[in-house]
Amino acid sequence: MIRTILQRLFLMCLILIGVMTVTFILSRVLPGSPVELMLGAKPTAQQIAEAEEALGLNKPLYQQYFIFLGNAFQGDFGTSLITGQPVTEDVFLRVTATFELVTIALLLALSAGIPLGIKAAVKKEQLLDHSVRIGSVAAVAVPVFFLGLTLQILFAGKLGWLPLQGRIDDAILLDAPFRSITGFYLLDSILSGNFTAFSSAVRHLILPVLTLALASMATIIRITRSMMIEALQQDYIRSARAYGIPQHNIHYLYALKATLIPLLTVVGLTYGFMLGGSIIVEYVFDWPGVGGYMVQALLNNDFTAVMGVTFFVAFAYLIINLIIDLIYQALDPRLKKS
Amino acid sequence: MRKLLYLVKYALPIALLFTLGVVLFSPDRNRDADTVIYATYADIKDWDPASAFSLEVLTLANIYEPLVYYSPGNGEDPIRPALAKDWSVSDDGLVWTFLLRDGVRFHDGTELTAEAAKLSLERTISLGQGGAYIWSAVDSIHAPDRLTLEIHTTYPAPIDLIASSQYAAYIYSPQAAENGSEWFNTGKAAGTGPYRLRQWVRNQQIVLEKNSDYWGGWQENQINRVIFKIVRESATQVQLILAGEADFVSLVPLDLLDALAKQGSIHVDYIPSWKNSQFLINTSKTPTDDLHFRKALIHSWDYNAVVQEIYADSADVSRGIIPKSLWGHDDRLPTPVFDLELAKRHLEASEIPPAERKISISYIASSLAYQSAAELFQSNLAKIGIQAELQPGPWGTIWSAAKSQETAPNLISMTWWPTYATPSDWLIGLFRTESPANFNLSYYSNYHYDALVDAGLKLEATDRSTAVRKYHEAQQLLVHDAVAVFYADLKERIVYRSDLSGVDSNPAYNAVFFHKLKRSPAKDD
Repeated sequence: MIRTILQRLFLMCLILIGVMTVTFILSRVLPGSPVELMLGAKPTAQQIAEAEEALGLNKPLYQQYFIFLGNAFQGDFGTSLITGQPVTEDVFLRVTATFELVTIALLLALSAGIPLGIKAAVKKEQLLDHSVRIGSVAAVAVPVFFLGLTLQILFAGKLGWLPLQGRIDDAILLDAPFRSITGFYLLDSILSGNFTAFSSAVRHLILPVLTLALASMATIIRITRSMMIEALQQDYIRSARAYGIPQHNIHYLYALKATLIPLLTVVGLTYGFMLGGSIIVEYVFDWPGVGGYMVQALLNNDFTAVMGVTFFVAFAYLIINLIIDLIYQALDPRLKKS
Repeated sequence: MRKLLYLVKYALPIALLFTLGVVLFSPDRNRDADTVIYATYADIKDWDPASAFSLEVLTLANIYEPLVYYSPGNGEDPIRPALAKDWSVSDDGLVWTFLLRDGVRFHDGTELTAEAAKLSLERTISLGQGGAYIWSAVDSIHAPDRLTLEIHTTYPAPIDLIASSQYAAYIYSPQAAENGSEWFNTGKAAGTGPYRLRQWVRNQQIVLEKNSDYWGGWQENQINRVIFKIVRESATQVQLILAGEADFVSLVPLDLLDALAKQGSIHVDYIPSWKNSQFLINTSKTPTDDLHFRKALIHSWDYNAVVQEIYADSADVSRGIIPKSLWGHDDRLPTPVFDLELAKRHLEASEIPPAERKISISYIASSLAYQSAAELFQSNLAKIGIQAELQPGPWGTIWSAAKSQETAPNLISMTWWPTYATPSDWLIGLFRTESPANFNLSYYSNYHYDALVDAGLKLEATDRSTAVRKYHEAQQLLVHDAVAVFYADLKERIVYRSDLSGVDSNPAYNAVFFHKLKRSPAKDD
């Protein structure tokens, strides 16, 4: 097991270097220098020349690349040209916000999606099955932007039950702050014993989590349903029924196990995708996450930020896939041998 | 597996119930009437008042103060006291003397003295970042006594105007100056203004709190706390102000302004600004190097339709490059005319054969106004036989391309505003001969024009009426030479809750001065 992990980690390093090299070249050959934007409204030609010199943009590309790699190995991705802050700090702050949002959305999608998928499979071609299938098609079809705005108008605008945007109430940040330990507001507020902050963080999470969870929940329902239908037709399930094992146990203990491998694949891919792809939800709800940062960096050709955020997304994606692969092996020991 | 099922069956519902309980029984926050919330679309990038050169002024203008303010109107001297209560200039225009207010303290407790102001200005100048170039005429700064500041210049420069700038002219604490940019950029500030910086949570909010020791004093119903919320999505900003969760919003789609203005609880003010938009025409690149061809372009622009329909009346048609609200504007310049017949006649008079009547137009892709205006222009040009290729892109990209003649388009969008209250900012910044090009993207080079604007600049301090005459002549040359489509003098749109009064309309500052605001005691929502 340890050898497998080490091998995978070594491969991960090679992949990361490859990703960073391609991104570095792409970001430098794209037309338009970010320096002009970095300097504010109306920089003079002299200010631009000085900034290019300071950033080493006058050096040959290969020199810039090795300087970048050297710094990156020490965890220094430079200073964002647009925010003026160290990229590592920027990314850390935003990554934790995105992780919190995406993780809870995925947990919600799984905890509702799996039982619904199972029920739909068990009640195949019945009313419940049709309803779940129509619902999941609709959930995939509704644009995230539209859904987010609709939820905002309904729950924040009309009913006033939930906040419209942001990660936490501004007054709490100001008057009842809590210590940032993990960067996850839910966790940090509990660890600090600040339940007002916890409540505010939950209230701010509800709408973006619902918006983000719905589309992935639909995918999970559909995968679970189709795999369950297949599993329920297997001989071992028929035997279990013949032995008089309760239906609940058959569904949730024996048949569900057979769906876990494909389900895990979907979960891994969805999680990785959501980390970088939650951008629309982040924009609609002003969630200070990494998606918005990435788009801002790309639009402004803020190459230091682009490199930092690409590294993070690639790293997170690879780690998630590694974990998923390890879980595969734990669930199905046959995979170890193969 | 069985354990997992038990977890799902018992632990999750308990956790959910606990969460729900905390959420439902948490008290709702009541907003204080003395707090104003401003929804802004971008976070602060640079907290250093010496180098901040962008949207930061919105916040910094409430924390820091310059020596003097510029306040146009009423035909009086527009320069008003701020940290300096009096000032004078020597007969030769080379020495400016400012007498500072006594008893003013920076937020860190340091006293404002001439020495402190000197240190602050000298640091700004030596850093040379942001708008620091406005001080390029300064030779030396002296503090002959505790409250007297002398600024010596190499030529008669209008230091009163320069010192009123919203960029690079703020006076800050000498202690802060010593701490340097890194200290500022951790979200620290030490000015003399009515508000102190209380908190900066990156990407989320900035909080300013009343400076009780403010030399300007405080009255009842003034605003004690200002919260800038970072809200990037315009639809969310609209929801916030409708729900009364924001008092000001900065990002409202033009087509929603009317609907918001009809809400009794929301005011939409249109205030003349010093910002204007134009499409610069490359005078050195074929086919726009032909004067008649350029005039054909000028008359193919539908000025009224753009201003009324695309800008929803939040702009006036420009007459020349200097906006009407700034001194130096020339009222005698003709209003530009949209006339396709006239455009055709100019086109026929040009030396450009029909097969070569093709141009490229660059504009900032994210601007709907530029896009709509460029598309309308493209369609009008097609009617007279000019083929226009639209090249939208991010500003950094199109600007870089425009700075090289090989990759430059024939027209490029530009929105400009002055760093301080001077027409020379446009006249020199955009059109004076420049090699290599930085902002003169018209590649305009006319030595007569250069002599006029150079002379005007040197007369601004000592003989402003002659300077104005020079600037008028220069503007007439620009219009005659058709160097740009001057189409919109923009109005600033301020959208705010109607229980607030005292919103200032000063085009010299892209900021709301919260100290001037008061909230009506009975809030209407």
